[in-house]
Amino acid sequence: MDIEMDLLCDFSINIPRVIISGDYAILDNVNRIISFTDKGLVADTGARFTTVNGENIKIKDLTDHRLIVTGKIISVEFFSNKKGD
Amino acid sequence: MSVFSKFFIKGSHKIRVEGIKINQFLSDCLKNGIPLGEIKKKDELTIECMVSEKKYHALMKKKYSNQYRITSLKNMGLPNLKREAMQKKGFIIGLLIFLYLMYYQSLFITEIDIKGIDAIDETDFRSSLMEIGVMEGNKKNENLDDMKEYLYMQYEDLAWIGIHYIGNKMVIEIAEKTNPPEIISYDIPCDIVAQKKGYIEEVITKYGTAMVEKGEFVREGDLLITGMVSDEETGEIKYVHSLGEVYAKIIYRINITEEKTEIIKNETGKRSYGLRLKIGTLDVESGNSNILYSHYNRKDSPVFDIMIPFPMKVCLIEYGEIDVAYRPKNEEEIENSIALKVNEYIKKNLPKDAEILNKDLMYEEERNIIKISVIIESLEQIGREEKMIPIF
Repeated sequence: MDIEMDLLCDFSINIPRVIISGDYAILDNVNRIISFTDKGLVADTGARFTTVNGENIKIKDLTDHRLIVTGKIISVEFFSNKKGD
Repeated sequence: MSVFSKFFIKGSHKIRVEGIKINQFLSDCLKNGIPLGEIKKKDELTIECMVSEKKYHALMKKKYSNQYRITSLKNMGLPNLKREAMQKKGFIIGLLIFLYLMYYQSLFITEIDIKGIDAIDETDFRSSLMEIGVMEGNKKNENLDDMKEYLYMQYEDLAWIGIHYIGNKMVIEIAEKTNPPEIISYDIPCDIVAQKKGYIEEVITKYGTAMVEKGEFVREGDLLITGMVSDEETGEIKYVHSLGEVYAKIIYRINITEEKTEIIKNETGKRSYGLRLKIGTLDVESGNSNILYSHYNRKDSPVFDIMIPFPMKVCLIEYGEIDVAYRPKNEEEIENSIALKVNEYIKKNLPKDAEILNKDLMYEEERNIIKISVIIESLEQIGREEKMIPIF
């Protein structure tokens, strides 16, 4: 990864950033929660929507544009936002 | 800030939020910096989550309370525990008093166990301990080194002493000195005296003058070889260090009893149970009145055994019925049993270098018992050096 990409990942606040470890997922740069059920979660993460699908999904912590999601995570998907890019 | 410090240390509410735009509620909280935790969706219109105590009041004041129905389900965290504790003052005071009493009673000695005491009189030893304030019911002595020093000063026969506490029990372990035989230097005049009574068999004199002859009976302390010798030519009396060995025939008499029949105990398999409770010196048992067996084996199994805060023991008592039968022993079995008892006696009471000269057994039958009188004759060296005081 070149330095430009590295800085982009660390400091950009308008792109989704997801860290997954086992049954935990940390979603950064969350602006809104579009949908939340025990089967999944859709969050507006700036330039894209981020979807976490799974079973028994819970939000462990919701603070400072960050979500900590727990549960049996099956997939993570990104969708284009309303601007269509 | 961790979830623990955010919700537990600072206090939190578990709330239920009901409304049509429930996702909007989460987004608004995110936007307005209201941290939520443990968010769980119950149905399409309801979520349950945790919110810090400070933010809970902010949540109730803001417009959310108009848009959503927010219900506090549970007040959690340290501030809430504090509040609850303050409401139960009596309980807290009682608990503190109980803890204090537990601590206070742990400062006292409930039992003193003295191990390894043999030659020293135990009553006298306990009296010495009482003189320095160590007794049951008194406060624990923390300075055990001073206590040890005092005991070493009091008892010269102490080789080692170890003191420690097991709960409220003081355990004193003692090793006593074994006095070695007195060795008298060759330049000191001495006699050889008898250390046992017996019939003289042989006197081997190296220095000194023999005072006894073969066949003579001597008692303990009788002079065997004297260190006082007179010069044949000048008639001058000299005092020398006696050297020699005196062998005597020592007679031991013992009485042994042996049963003619052997008791055979067989378990029938029937059992009854009882409980035993021991608190300090109080000992209560249940089940004694329930035993219907004429012969039984008793087995105590400790269920609960503590020393702190006070000595307490609970035992399950198991009574197993036994069937007692008698079997007559044959001659060989009786002889073997007697031989074993005689050998045990010899091992315990006769010196290792003693030579057994003769063993006589006299039998006498009495109902179910055989009485045996055993006479053992042994050859032993009975001479012992003893300092003499020259007469001038």
